[in-house]
Amino acid sequence: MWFVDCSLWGNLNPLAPLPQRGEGSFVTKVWRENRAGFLFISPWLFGFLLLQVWPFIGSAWLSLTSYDLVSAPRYVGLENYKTLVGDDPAFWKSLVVTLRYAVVSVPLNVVAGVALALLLNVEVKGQAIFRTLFYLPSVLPQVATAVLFAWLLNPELGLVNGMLKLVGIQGPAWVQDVHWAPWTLVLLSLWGVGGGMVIYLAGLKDVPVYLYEAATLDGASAWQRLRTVTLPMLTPVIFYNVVMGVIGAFQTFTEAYVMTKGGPEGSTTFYALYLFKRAWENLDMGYACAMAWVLFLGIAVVTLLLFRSQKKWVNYDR
Amino acid sequence: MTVKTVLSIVAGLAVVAVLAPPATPVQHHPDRQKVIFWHMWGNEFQPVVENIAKRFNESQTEYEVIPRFVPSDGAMTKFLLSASGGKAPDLVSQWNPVLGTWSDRGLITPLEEVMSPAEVARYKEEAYPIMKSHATYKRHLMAMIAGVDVNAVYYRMDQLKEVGVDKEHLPKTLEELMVLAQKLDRKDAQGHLRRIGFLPSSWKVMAPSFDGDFGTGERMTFDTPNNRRAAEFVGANQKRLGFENVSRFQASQAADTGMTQPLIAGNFSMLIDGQWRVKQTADYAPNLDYAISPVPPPKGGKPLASMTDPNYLMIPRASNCPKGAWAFMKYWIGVDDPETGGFNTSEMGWLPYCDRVAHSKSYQKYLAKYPRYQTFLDLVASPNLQKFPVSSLQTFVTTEVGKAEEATSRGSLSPVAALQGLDRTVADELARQKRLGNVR
Repeated sequence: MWFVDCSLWGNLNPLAPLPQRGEGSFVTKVWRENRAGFLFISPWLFGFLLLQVWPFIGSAWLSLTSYDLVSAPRYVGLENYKTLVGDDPAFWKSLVVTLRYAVVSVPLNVVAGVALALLLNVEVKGQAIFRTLFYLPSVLPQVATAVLFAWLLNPELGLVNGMLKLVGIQGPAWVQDVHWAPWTLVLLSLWGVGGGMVIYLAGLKDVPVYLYEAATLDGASAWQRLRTVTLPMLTPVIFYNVVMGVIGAFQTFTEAYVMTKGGPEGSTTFYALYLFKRAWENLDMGYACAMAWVLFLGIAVVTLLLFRSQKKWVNYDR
Repeated sequence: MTVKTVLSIVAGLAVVAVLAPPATPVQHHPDRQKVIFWHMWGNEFQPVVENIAKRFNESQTEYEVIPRFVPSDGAMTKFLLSASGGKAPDLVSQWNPVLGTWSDRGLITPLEEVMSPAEVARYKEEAYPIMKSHATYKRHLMAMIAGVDVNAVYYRMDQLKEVGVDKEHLPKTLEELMVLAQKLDRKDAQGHLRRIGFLPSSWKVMAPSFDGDFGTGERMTFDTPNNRRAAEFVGANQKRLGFENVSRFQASQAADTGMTQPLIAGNFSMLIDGQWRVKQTADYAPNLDYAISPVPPPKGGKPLASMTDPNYLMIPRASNCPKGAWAFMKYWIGVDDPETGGFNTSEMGWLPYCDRVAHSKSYQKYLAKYPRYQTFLDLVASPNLQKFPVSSLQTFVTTEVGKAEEATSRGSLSPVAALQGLDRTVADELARQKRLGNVR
């Protein structure tokens, strides 16, 4: 069976000694010894280079141009970035909408995911069924889910307001209401909480039993065991979900595109939706690329900050 | 057969279905030149369009039009991708405001390149002014107008009778209409709207009746005294009913198609709508008692006025068969044969492009069958019809107008603030496009 000769990757270290004369170049050596491996992964490698690396580099160039998709791109320097920062209120508004969504939905999903995982970690009859039921929504297509919820949340005909009416509450207009619409989408993000829940469940299974036994012997209550054993041991998994959640939140698009088209009054015009509109409705592809790069850098900075913060709150001590 | 085997077969079929190449368009006459036609008319209009293509294919032996329905939501994106990839359809229809944007970017062919000089001269001479105006951009004929949407007021007579109004006593002014509208509003015990007498929801639509306008593609102006009057009229009436009430009521409306279209559903006693409703209503509710009149002008306003929206037929620059596309366009609207044009136009429930087609036997037969349609025919030749300014910023401006209208109708912005804001936004975008060298 073929496997990658991992020892060679040591040479990727810039401080590692360079190949000696007669051994051939580093690239030649890597190629010679891993040829079969590269050939096996070549379909993926080809796709990665063509569909990810090339567009990535291409969009950086396009962000410095005026490009309408049809005519040749024309170099305009930093004009797109200058307009974004200094002359486009819609850009800032979409950024605020997105940040507000991220700040609320990510912690909410973490809390809901952990809580669900704790509940579904309890040995009860039908545990597997419950786990499946809670996980299922996260694998449903986002568009289908958004269409379904658009009907469920219809202020007059929707099932949700119909049920609220039964108990004497007049439900809000949900996505039709400028004040409720952003928070409705935050609530809707909980629909996919099952995806995170499965990861938390796996994390819970990984907590050594002896820690609970020791805590119990020390007289710790259930709450204290949760606070001092479970949650600290779960922090690596929480950290992973927070990072993925933040990245996902910054890229929120489908629900707003399907349910609200960014309305009412721009209250759900997320950054990615505004970017899409600029690109495809206004044929402002250069501007959209600049927006994409700002988004990329924004996500990179936030992710970096999260990684730096993990020293303070993520427990890798097993 | 085990469950596992069945699942394996299903999974295999799913993979095949996903990976299978898309069906190639069916060509019944391989000896003819193909004309691939992308159109956006779905539901009950799709077979009508397909039948027009079928009749055209039967009428000659040189071309075969192959119609392909492209849902309106993704039609622009799909076309742009195909055009930038150099593999566009041969003919494309659009009702989105794209003429200026697509023309300036060289995506569509000026029709003078496929029309003979005699055809150009005759079109310019005989087409109704509003048709010609919609078809022309920067002095070139860039599209043919398969149909232009003109607005009038539809009245549900069964509901008007509740307040003692009959067909002979329809409102003569917008002020009279609004007095009547208030009598026709209905609310339930909780105060929720169950029927609205009349809901003006767009000041873009109302502006022509107030003698308002938005300038030209080169110089757009929104904040004018008459546009303010139109916007204030719309805002005041939304406020009267309650912004949230209106929003909830509108959310409860069923799909705007067939049996559930608003006139038949009866959720509005009076509503502004386009000419195609006449045939649609006849098809789905032949016994419905209703009347039509042009929008009654407000005090100091204009009679026989309406904002109009075109249905473009355009030949992409990358078309492989522009001559065939033009032959089909001519057939559709009746340039060479008014009888055919009259029949095609009436099948869609639309307005003809000129008097010659309007006077054809086939179209007159349609008018005799649907006499209410005469109101729209009177309107189409009116000098008080308007079109929205066409420019390369058309799509951007239309989106911004939509936002400003939404803010006005929800009461978030005063009409004046919305119009002033719109002027600023459009000016800023124009300045940016100039800085980028996209607009001179």
